Amino acid sequence: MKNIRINQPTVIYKILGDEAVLINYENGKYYWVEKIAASLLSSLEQGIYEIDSLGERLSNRYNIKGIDISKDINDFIEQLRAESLIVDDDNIISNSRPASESPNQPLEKLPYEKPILHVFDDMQELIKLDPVHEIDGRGWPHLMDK
Amino acid sequence: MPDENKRKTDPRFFFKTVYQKFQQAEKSTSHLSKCFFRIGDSTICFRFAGSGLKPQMLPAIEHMMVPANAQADLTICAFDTDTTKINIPDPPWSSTLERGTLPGYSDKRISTAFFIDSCILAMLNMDKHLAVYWIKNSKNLPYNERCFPARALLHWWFRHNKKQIAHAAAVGTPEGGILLAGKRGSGKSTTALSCLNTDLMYAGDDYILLSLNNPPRVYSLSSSAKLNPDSLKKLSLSMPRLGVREKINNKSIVFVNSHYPEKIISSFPLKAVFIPAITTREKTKLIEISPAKALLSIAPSTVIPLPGTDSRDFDYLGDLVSKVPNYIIELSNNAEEIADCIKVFLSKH
Repeated sequence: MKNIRINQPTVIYKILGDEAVLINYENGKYYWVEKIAASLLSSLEQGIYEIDSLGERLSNRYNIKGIDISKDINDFIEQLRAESLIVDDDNIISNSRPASESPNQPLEKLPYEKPILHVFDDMQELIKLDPVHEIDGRGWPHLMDK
Repeated sequence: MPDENKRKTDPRFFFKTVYQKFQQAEKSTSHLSKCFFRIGDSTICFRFAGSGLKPQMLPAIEHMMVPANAQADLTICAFDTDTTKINIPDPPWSSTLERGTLPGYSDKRISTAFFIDSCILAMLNMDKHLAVYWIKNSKNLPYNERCFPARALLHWWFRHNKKQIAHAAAVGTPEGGILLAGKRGSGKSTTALSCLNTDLMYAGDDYILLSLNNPPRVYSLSSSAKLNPDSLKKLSLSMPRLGVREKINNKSIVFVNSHYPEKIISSFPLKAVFIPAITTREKTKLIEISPAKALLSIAPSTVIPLPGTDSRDFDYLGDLVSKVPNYIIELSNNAEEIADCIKVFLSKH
């Protein structure tokens, strides 16, 4: 089983309704997602870490009308991984079903749209201005020689 | 000497050492002063030793100055080595500097940041309600520290006190106002300054303070504004008192309190968040957006530049945009008409 989790604390995120905003402190980029992509993050937040379970949960939640969404989901997860927003973690234990999801009350299925990661990089210069510095034995930290 | 080394690498010990150096600096110079400011619900005392920092830090915050007999909630001891000749010891830690902060040198009660470009050390000791702010050479004080002095210390202090600093402008009246949030060049400053010619008041442009009261509130933090030459030229036509303090990187720094002191407001209830968008429209238009879209505009430029931010700051801003309506304000090219649009909105909310 392949498990993934949000790359905290390097990545901070907030889910608001069916949208989410993420910031990656490491690269200075920030991101906006909505609908199924936000649902995926919400599932991760609720402790569903297995990729297979995530796909299954989203298939149940969205009206996929016979579409095989596994490629879309895998592509999206690959994008999240490439941006270091998620990391693989096979030591983390995934919930089989979050407490908030009741098996007796099926939710109305939502229209399916391919998940898209919207990427913004206009704040990256601020991270580049003040990157990580190793402090050595020269006393106060020094700017690295360019 | 393992115990001695352990003691030296204790953040509290280093804080005490730097504070003692500040006390030495106070004894070494005749340039001493204490200034008290009411910021948010806190009274903050700046104790300056040396002549280097005070004239540079005061203009942005002097509109919040209160009488010197006030009881301080937080005291910030600010000094420099070039005018006091008192240096501080090299850091005892072996660590990595990450976006200004020293992870191994901060805990729940002590926060430490070091700004490598300007050689500024900022340390806050929450147990003692005391902070030290040291710069090696005060001539190197960066413009962003002049526009919003001791930003790291105030960010930490207010977070402990359940308030949040945000990168935004704010205009309104005592009955209520709006936040103007967005990245640089989005029209935030121009819109805020356009309101100086109306009966709307100005709380800030660069950074402001927020609280999640019911309703949420905005507090002034600084009266500085940064403008590009075109915006300043346009605004100066209708606001002849607007003067430029200095120019840095093609931006002009204006301290609004120096020119329009009667237009500064210290606080108001927050009615909405506006995200400005520059357009060629003839009439300013408001378009309601989701809280997430507003968060996308306000959070990155707040949490990325400030040292020591984390998910708590992001959550705070997320909660704020969930409590008020959020709009894109499509700006016309008529400053007066933009201000009218804001006034009409506030009269209805």
